Amino acid sequence: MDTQKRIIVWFSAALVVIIAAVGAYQVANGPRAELRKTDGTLSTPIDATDWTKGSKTPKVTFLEYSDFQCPACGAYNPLLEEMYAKYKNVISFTYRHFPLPQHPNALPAAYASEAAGAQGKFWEMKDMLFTKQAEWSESKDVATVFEGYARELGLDIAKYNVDVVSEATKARVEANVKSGTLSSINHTPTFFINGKMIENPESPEELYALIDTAIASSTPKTN
Amino acid sequence: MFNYKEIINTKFAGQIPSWLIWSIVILSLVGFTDAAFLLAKRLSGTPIPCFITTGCDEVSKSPYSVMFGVPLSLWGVLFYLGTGFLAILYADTKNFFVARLIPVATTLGFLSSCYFIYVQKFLIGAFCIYCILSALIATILFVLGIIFYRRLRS
Repeated sequence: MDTQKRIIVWFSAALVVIIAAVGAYQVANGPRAELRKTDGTLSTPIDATDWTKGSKTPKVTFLEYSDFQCPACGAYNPLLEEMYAKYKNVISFTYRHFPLPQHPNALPAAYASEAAGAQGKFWEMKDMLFTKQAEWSESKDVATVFEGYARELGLDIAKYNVDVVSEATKARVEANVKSGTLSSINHTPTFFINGKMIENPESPEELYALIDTAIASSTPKTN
Repeated sequence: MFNYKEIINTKFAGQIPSWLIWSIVILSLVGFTDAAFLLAKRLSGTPIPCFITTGCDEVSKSPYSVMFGVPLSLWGVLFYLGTGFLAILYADTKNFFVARLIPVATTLGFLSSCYFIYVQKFLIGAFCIYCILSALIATILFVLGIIFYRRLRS
């Protein structure tokens, strides 16, 4: 073999071996990093690990990505709860965490809500956190404040204190944030109706109209 | 007088068909990929999806899956990498000593595979499809190695 041919043979052999090794590694370690959705659709479908309330066979799924320390999220909360009260027999309402980095107390708040959730009081804690947002947003000792809320909700404080710092709690919030990032969320709150991102409604009527339209165009879902 | 350099540089004049060499190369590549997959699975510790057979994890996590402190999948990677390397090296240099090493390597692989099948059948009682695939490739390589050896002698 002449030198050029030899170089080609050895070089391609090395290349093929590298490709085979990388391929085997990729297959062994599951799919590649998931791609971000940029078309306004939800990256990660709602499942049993999510905090969801409302109809078990919803005609419409409503999902909120939110940050407990974000003032707009706090402002939207009563509106969303009114909407939920009105439609709870036909829709499901899901809450996912998306604490923004500029809100230092948002992450501890998310952990507190998860710890309350471990005792079946997620929604109560969520409402408490939003209602009393002004009280703790700038607090330097937010853990004590949240523990007080836990007490107010009648939680088992020993268990709460374990759950609030547990790795499982952190992982749950982390998973929410990841799913939000993959859905290309860039503001809070962000809402999804049936897995499609919507513009934040400016009035209750606008929100109801969106829900009504989604209900009207839905076929009953079975799960 | 024994001239080491001359022997090393001996070119094998006989005819080894190129399909034989490249079959060995391609089979080695398949075996390499198979073994690399098992090695990656072992390193990541994630379960191995098993089809046709059952008990891939049982086999791959059994105490028999390590030899001299090195996982069998790594031995497999090295074996296939080595065999493929020898075959290409032979295609490149037509060196007689390289040619002699190929049947030795494939025999080694075949005997090891026989032992691994024995272990799976009688000691673990479960089969791992990727190990069977590897054994199959090693067997074909062994057959090719025999053909190679006979051509070499003739």
